[in-house]
Amino acid sequence: MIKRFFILLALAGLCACEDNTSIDQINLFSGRWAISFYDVGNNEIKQGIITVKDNGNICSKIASGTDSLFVTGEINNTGTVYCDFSDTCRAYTRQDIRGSFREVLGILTGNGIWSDTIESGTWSARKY
Amino acid sequence: MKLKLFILIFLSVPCICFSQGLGKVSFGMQAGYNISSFDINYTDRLTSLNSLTSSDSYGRFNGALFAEAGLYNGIGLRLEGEYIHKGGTVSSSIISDNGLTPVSREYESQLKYISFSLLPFYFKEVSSGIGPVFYAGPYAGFLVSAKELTTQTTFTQAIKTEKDIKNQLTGTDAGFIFGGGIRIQNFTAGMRYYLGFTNVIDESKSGVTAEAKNRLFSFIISYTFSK
Repeated sequence: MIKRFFILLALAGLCACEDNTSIDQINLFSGRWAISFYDVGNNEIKQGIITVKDNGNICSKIASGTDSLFVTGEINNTGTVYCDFSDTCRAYTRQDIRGSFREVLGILTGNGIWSDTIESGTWSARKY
Repeated sequence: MKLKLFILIFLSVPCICFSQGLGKVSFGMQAGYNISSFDINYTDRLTSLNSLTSSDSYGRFNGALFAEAGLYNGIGLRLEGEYIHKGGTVSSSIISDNGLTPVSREYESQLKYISFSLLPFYFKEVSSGIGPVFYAGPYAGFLVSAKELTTQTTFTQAIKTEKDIKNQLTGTDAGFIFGGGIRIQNFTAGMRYYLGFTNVIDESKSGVTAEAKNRLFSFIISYTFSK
């Protein structure tokens, strides 16, 4: 009886650890990234953490003080960023945030430009 | 072109030393085992994160040919041409989240250089042909090939991929070598450290906003002919 219990427990453990996504389908830039946005004067105006999911989708809330917004969109396997600022998670439509994530020697960084209806600037990101 | 120029200098200096009567020129060969890594300095604007880090080490063999001339009272000059493996290993942190499979990623960079060094040395002869030797001097390396092996592992799956990263790196590496050892007749056993000064990442081609400098510790054995 105890033996059967342990076999069931082991099988349950294996099932719990099963990967839902095939590893070759996982986006190479998946994981957690620190990102900072700068105005045209190179002053940091917002920073936060974004998470790139297995499929490359991004929907991360960035908050500073009482102000918060979502960075939402996707990144493809070559690192090109297609994202918007929005107040909810959805597919990108305007591409407010452009640029790319890059990797060499295991060092992963990203940079590009952003714009909304009244402002614009640059952004930098680093995987950590 | 730079590589050809260095080979020319490398071959001509022992001949000049010989013709100037600066001392007997000896030739030799050397083999060693390297433990290499990178010092990484992020050049992005994310000031809230640490900008300095280093990779894990990566071990490989190297081989060299050299010419050396004794100049004065134990002081001499060695010219070395070396085929050397440099590189390092960087592992990424494992994050688990909704829609995010925890993946362990290890990036092993294998950089192969042909390197030339000019090493003034001091040999303190304790007894006949035996004694400690110390040296320090500059080196210049030319990248021959650069590969990156990426191993991604989840709980139940693993995948290895390889890519050529030579076009994302600067083609040269310059720095300083410090070392020493024990010379016993024609054999020398010792250790040396390579301190790279140049950033091996070409930021404009790679798009990565970071500097990486080669660091290398080497255990070596050399044999000098016709001493």
